[in-house]
Amino acid sequence: MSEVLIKVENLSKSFGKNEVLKNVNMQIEKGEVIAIIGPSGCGKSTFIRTLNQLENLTDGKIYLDGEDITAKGVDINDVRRRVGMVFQHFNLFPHLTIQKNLTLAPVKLGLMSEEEANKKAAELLERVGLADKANAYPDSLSGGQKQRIAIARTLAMNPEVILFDEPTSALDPEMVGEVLNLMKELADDGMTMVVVTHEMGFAREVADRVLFFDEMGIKEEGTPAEIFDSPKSQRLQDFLSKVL
Amino acid sequence: MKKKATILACMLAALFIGCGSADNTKTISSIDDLEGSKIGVQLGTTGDIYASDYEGDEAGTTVERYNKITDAVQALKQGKIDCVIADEQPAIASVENEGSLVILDEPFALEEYAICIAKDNDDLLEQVNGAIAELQEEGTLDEIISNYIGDDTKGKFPYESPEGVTYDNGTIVVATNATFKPYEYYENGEVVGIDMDIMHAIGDKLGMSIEIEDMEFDSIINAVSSHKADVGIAGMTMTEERAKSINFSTSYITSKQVMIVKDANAAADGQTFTEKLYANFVKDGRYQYLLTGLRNTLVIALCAVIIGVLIGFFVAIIRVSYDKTGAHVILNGICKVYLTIIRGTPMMVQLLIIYYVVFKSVNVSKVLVAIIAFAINSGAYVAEIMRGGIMSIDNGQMEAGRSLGLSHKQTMTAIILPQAIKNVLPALANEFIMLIKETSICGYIGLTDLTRGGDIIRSQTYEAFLPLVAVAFVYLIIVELLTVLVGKWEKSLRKTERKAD
Repeated sequence: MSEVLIKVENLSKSFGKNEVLKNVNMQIEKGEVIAIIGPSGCGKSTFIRTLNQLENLTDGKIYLDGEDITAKGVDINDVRRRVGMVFQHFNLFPHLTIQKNLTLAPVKLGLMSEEEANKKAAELLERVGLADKANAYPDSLSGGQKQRIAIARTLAMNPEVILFDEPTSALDPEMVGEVLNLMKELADDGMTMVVVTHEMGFAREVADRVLFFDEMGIKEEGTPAEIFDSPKSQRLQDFLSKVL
Repeated sequence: MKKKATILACMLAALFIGCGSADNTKTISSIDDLEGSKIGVQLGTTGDIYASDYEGDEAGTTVERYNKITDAVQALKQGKIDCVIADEQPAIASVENEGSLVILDEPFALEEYAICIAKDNDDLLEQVNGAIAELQEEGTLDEIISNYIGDDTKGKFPYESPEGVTYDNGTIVVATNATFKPYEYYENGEVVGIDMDIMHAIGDKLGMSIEIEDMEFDSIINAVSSHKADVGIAGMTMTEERAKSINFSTSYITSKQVMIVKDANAAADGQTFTEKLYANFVKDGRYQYLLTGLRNTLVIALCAVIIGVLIGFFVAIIRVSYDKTGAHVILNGICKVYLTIIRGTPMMVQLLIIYYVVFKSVNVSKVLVAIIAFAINSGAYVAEIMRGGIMSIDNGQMEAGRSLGLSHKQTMTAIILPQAIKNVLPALANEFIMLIKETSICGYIGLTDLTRGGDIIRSQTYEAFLPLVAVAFVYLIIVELLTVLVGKWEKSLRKTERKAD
C-alpha cells in the first residue's frame, strides 16, 4: 500500500471574475509520476502552481504529507523547500555561476554548509552530465543545458516532489530529448513528479497516471494506456487527434 | 580622447570670446546721469535699496543685482552695466587693481553702519551697545578703523586682545559676508577686516569668544532673526526696512555710498596672463580655497550618494512590494509624498529649507546639513532609478527564488537586487555625477565648496575669468575620471558574466 504525498480537495481558483479551476480533487502517491495534458488555457499550469502556492487558492485545501498547507500560519517557505519546481523558461539566476545557482538556496537557508553544498552540487552536475560547467554563467549554456541545470538546482534541495511546468516547451526540438531523458532517469529512481507537458510520448512512456485537464478541472484520468488508447470523452478524443 | 580635447578647446575659445565687451554704454559722471542707465548693485545692500528707487522710472532705469560686489564690478568692466553703487571702502578696494574704473568724487549718500541683533535678544543688544560705547571712549574703535583706512595709518594699529581676557561667558556667533574689503574679507583662509576686529574687541569686553559664519549678504538678517547667528555685522547700513526684522546696535562707523564708473580715458588692463595666474592661485596661497572647496565638494557628494543610495533602495523596495503584493500601504504613501515633494521642488530651495527651517535653532556643521540635504534629494532619484531596475527583472526570477524556499526578502537581496543594480549602474553613476555638480549651490548656505572656493578668490582678485575656468576645469576632470572608472567597472561586470566555462 503506497502513501499519499499530496491530496487536493475541492480546489477552486479564479483570477478576478475569471474562473480557471473549479472543485478539483486528486491525490498523488509517493513515487508516482503524473502527467498533466490538455489544451492551452485549461488551467494546467495554474493548477501545478497552486501545489507550491505560487498561486493562492480561491477555495479548497491542499495537504502535503497530511499537513494542510493552505491553512493560516503555515510556513510556506518550508513547504516550498519540500516541493521543487522546474519552469518553462528555466529561470536560472544569470548573475551567479552554475555552481552558485545550485548552492545558493541550501546555504542561505542553513540546510547545508558551503562545503556540503559544493559537494552536493558537484554530484548533481555529474549526474546531469554538466560537471564541466560548474564555473560557467547561465548565458553561456544552451536551452537544454539550462533546463538540466534548473533540474539539478531543484534536486539540490532534496525535495519530496518536483513540479515540472512545461519543461520542454521553450526548447529547440533537438534539445527536448536530453531533458526528457534526465526526467525519465529521475522517475526511474523513484522521484515523485507532476509534469505539465505537451510531450505525449513522454506521458505515455514514463507517467504512471495521466490527467486530462479541460473546462476548469480534470476531465478524464487514467493510466497512459487508458487515456491514449481508449479515450472516453469527446473532448479528449478531439484533443488527442490534434496533438498525436 | 582626441574628440574630448577638441571639445574642451572649443569651450575655452568660446569663453575667451565671451570676454569681449558689448558697446552700448551710457557715460555717467554725476548722480543726475543715473536716470535711464543700468545700475549694478550687490543684492540686499544699501546700494540696492537706493538704486531700487530709480528702477522702473520714466527714463527706463534698470537695476542688476549681483551676489557679490566683485560680480558687479566685473559686469561694469565688461560694459554690461553703466555704474555700480557700493559702500565706499569695498568700492575703493575693488577698483584698486582695475585701471579702467574710477570712483566718482561726489558721494551718492551718507550712511551709518551698525550691528544687527535678533528682536527678542535685548540682553545682548544692551551688552553690545555698552561695549561699543566703551570702545568709542577708549579710542579703540578709531584705532581699528585707521588700521584699515587711511594711507598714513594703514597697518599701524593691529587690534590685539587685552592681556588676561577670559572667555567664560559663552560664544557669539557672528554672521557676515566676507566679500567686503576692508570691512570683512578673506586673508590666508581667515575672515578679517574692520568689522571682525570690532567684533573681537566687543567679545573681549564681554568675555565672550567669537565664532564667524560666512554667508551671502542677503542671508545675514535671516540667519540672525532665526537665531542661526547671534549678531550680524557686514558693513550693514541702518535702514527702516531692515529694522523691521531685526534690531540695530548703535552705529560704529559712518560711511558713504559711492558710484563706480568706467574711466573714459583709462589705459588697457596692465596685468599679463602669468601675473594674473600668480595673483589668482599662488599669491597668499589662494589655491588653498580651491583645495578646501574640492575636499568639501567630494566629501558632501560621496557621503550624500552613499546615504542617498540607501534611502533610494529602501523606498524602491517599499514601492515595488506595494505594487506587486499590496503590502506596506502606509509606508508606500509616505514614500510617494517624499518623491513628489523632492522631485517637484528645486534642490536649492530644499537646501535652504533644511538649513534655515529644519535646523533653525540647532547648531550643526554646514557640511552635515549639506550631506543631509543632498542625500534626501538624491535618494528620491535613486529610488525611481532602482524601482525601474527592479521592475525590469523578469518575474520568473522571483518565482524561482520563492519556489526554492527563499523568503521574499532573501530572494530580493540575493537574486533580484544584484541583477537590478547591474542594470541601473550607468544611471546611478550618472546620478552621482549630477550630484557632484549640484553641490555647487552649497555657497548659498555659506559653505566653501569648490564653486565658492573660486568665488572667494574672485572676491579677492576682482578677476572672473581664471577662477571660474579653473573651477569648471576641476569639475570636468572629476566627472571625466568618474566616467572612465564607471565604464571600466561596468565592463568588468559584463566580462564575468559572458565568461564561458
